[in-house]
Amino acid sequence: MKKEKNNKHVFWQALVFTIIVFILGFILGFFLEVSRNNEVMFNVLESEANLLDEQLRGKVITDFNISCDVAVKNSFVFADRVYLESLEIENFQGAAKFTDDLKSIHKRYDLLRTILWTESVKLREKCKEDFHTVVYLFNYNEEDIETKAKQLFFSRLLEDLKNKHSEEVLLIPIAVNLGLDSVELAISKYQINNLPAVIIDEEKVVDEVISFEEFERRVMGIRT
Amino acid sequence: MGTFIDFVFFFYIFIGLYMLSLFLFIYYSNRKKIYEYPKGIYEKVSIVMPCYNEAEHIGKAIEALLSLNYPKDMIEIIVVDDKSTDNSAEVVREYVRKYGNVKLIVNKRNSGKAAEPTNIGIKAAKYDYIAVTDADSEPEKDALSKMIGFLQKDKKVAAVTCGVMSKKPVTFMQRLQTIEYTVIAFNRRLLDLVDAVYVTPGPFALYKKKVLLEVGLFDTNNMTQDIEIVWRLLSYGYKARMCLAARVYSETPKKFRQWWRQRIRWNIGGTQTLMKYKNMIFRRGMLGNFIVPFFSLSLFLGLFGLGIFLYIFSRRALISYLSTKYSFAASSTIIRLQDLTFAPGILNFFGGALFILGIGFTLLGLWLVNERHAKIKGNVFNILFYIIVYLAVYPFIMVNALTKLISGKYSW
Repeated sequence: MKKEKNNKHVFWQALVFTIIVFILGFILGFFLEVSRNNEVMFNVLESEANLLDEQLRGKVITDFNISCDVAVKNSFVFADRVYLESLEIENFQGAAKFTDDLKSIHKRYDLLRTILWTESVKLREKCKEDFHTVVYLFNYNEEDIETKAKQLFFSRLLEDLKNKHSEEVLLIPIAVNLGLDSVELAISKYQINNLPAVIIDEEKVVDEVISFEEFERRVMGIRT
Repeated sequence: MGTFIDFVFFFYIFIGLYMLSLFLFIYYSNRKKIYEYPKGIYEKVSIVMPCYNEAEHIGKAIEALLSLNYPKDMIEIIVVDDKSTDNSAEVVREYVRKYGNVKLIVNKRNSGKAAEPTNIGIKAAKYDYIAVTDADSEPEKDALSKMIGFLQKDKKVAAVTCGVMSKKPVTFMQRLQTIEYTVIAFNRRLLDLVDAVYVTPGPFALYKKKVLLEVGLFDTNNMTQDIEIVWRLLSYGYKARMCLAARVYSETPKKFRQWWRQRIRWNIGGTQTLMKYKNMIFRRGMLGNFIVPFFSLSLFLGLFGLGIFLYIFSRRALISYLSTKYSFAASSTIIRLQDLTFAPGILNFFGGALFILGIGFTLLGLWLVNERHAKIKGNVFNILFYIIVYLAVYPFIMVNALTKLISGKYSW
């Protein structure tokens, strides 16, 4: 057998190879994330345009005395849309490793939803419509186990409610820990000490674990 | 942005990818000589077989040695019984009566480990080459003749190991070990190609007697004397080699409990060895520059990884438990479609790539070694189980072994 050649160079070869694979992987991962963020950002812009349209419509309704039906219907469509988009963000959240863009996008969504909340309050007063505003307040990227479990529970509870009363419940989830003054101001009058919490029709706060029936009664029964 | 845990995952993936690519590079650079071995000449060899309560297997083990393709007058077989409580010694005596080159030494006490009877056998050996074999192992007929050339052609080579394979598996645990042994044999040959053989396993290994005496024989305090001896030889500047063309078939634990005990012993011995040679790190060739760091890193990554896994797992389990408990109490939905959706990120892609590469490497090893009991065909479930579940048990063994080592409550 011939004398075996020195194979020690393979340690460096493997290291260079691994670094190259890692760099390529990181570049690929970065672009994947940016592409996802762009997709979500496009949705934000669409939603912003929709909201502006909605606000303008509200003004048109007031100024030209147009029926409230269209405005309420549009509010529901818009709320449903941002709700679904928020679920998409939630889905991407765990996969985001390179940028904080998703957090900024979430902030913009929270602002949109806060505007939607205030608009819905005005709309109900003006139109005397019989729909219920359910504002779900939670923490973005919650770390505490107990709170996270409760948030998961409330998400399920609210989804059940929304599925059962899709035409009567305007569901508006808002993250409260992203440093948005308008959000903090909007919820300050409710003196909420525990999160997650649900504000029903700007009158009642639910922050404890209750049965679906009880929750449904509080939401649907409060103004009937 | 990434969290601390994400960075830990990236680090693990990097190390995993590096090790796998290292093995693949070694293989690719040497793919034509995986089975090569230097042709040796017949020289006299003393075969030492330590034995404790092996009456069931020792007869077959001696017969396997007697039927080696090696001149009968050039081998002596020395069985050293470590004060067995069964009739092992009686079985051996039958062979002593029948064959002039079979000897039996009965230790005065039960030492509880293999090192002491092995050392007794080595001291009693007449010849310059010492083969050490287990009493439940059977080398292939040409194993010795294929291995001896390594010692003859290079003065620095003091030990040679071969491919340790599992005897025909019966139980599921044995089938998994058959896959494991085959992959290990392939890995060990690859490590041999970079002078990084770190163990000459007990089932069948060949040594130079003069060198064994020079370094002080096997360590009787170590639980894995076959690892420790190699590290010692390397620390003295000698080399250990691996001959994949030669094979020995060994009994493997049939049940999980036996397997668990064996692996704990291996881990205790490995850690004892690591502690003994920790000061060699980054010194003395491949021992300090690869073997010691590799063992240290494996130990650290295994324990740290297990800690991280338990942290994440328990956290998620607790969140799921609490939220499900609340949902039950509220009679609301327990699981949403949203909970099942999944957006893969870069870590998932890296993890997936590493997993596929790991499977590919395992299959390559099984295909190349071509062991009769570990064929790929008809073994897919066992191979997947080996990769996904079997290997995942290792960190738990490590924790148990360390606990026993620290508390001093361990035995062979």
